[in-house]
Amino acid sequence: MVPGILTDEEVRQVEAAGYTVEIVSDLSRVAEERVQEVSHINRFAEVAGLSGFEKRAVLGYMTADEVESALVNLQALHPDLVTLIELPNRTWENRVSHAVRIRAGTNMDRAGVLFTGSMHAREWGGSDICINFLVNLINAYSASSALTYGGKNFPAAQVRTILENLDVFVFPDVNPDGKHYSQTYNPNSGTSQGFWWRKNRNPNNAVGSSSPGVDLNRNFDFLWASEIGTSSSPSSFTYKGQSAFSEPESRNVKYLFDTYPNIGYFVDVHSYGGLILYNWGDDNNQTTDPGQNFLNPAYNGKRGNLTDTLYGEFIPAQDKEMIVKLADRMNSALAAVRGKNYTVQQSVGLYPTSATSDDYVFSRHIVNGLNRKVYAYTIEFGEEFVPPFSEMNNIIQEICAAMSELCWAAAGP
Amino acid sequence: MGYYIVRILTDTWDRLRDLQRLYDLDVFGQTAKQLADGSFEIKGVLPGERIEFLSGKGYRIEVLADAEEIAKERLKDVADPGSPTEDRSDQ
Repeated sequence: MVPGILTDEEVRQVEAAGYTVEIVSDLSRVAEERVQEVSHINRFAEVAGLSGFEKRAVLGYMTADEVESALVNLQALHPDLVTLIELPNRTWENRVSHAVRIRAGTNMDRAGVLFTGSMHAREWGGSDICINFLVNLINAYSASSALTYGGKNFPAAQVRTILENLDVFVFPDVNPDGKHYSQTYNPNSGTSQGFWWRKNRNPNNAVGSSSPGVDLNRNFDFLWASEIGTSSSPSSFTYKGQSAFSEPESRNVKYLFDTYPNIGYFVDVHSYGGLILYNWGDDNNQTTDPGQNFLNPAYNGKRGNLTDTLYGEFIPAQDKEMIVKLADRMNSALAAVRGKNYTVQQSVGLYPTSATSDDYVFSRHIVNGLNRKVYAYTIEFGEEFVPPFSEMNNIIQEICAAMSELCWAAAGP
Repeated sequence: MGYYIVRILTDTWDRLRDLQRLYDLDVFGQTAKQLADGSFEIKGVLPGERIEFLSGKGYRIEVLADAEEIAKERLKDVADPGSPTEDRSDQ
């Protein structure tokens, strides 16, 4: 007896030659079943998953593994357009994170735009938005077709200009450990606090705490020591970590700015609130006194109080004008999708913060004049952290339109 | 005692800020707003006992949704989340 793998035709030929063939297993059926299993577990585990992206993406929120697979396979499918960037810092649960850069053509003098998503664990949809944005932009460019999101249309010429005049960087899943923890909470555990997790999964052993997690969006190097809207207690929802950039995930974001100095625009995608937020977050903006700035120690302890006029964070009038203008353009594009407007406002709102990604990014050129100025935003999508996926599909369209508009603004004439 | 999405109302900005600064609650800073009557509101996710605690401190609290139920529903929207955190040291 000899085991083997034969086609139907080969079985017939072997039997005709006088052998007896016993069919042990129908491999076509097994393959079909396995494919279903794979796509159920990871819809984007193979390149083919990206080819059928539209049909697969609408099935539900992406997992951390799916996001990674999608990036790897996007590069495999479009090696001429996509560069896979392995980020240098593994997460606390030993995950490797990737970003991608997409570009076309030979223009060497181009600015970069960076989009990041899902920095907070419970804000799952940020990475879905980022992956949809990438796939749609690449597909439109490859097909020389327009990019359409609801009522917002980017003609093929604009798509071409974006990819041929700009470096588009996307880091879709900044906090994969946290998202995985949120997505795998046990609904029978008697509490849903795992689902509502915000921070990363640093066990905080180094600080002798049994409470895990650092709030990554309080771990950047912007007034980190000020404790404005942050906490030094590991059990807090806004625990800022042991030092600025103590966390591998926030260091991965920093790495992108340090490594690609052409990045001049940044959007950190969060939920929720229906907001497009611009700098600064620590206090009210003012445009008249450059001396009142985050680097000036004379104002330590005076920042973050909205009920007094002792301090306002300085922003040059021309920067403010530019930053608001770009935010308004993103909002117009977003509103064209289905008629829903977001609110454009300064991020300080009524809750001052420090050590956030957008303020760190905009502050880089002030701290070090060699760094490029980066216009930085936080978009708070939707009206809850994890909208029903049917609504998330609408939100994906809106935010992708806003992201595409920022790219067009950065790349266009 | 359950877990709830809530709207918290208070009269002053200092008391609004205390929710995070003093009581370390999971309130959503970006939802904070001042109402036409001058009072302040913010949304958050709180366990039942904290709702009682805050009520005792004079905050007005409106329960908007059962956070446990939302969590169960949204989990169905993940294609397949896989298993809780596994050892990835070989990857």
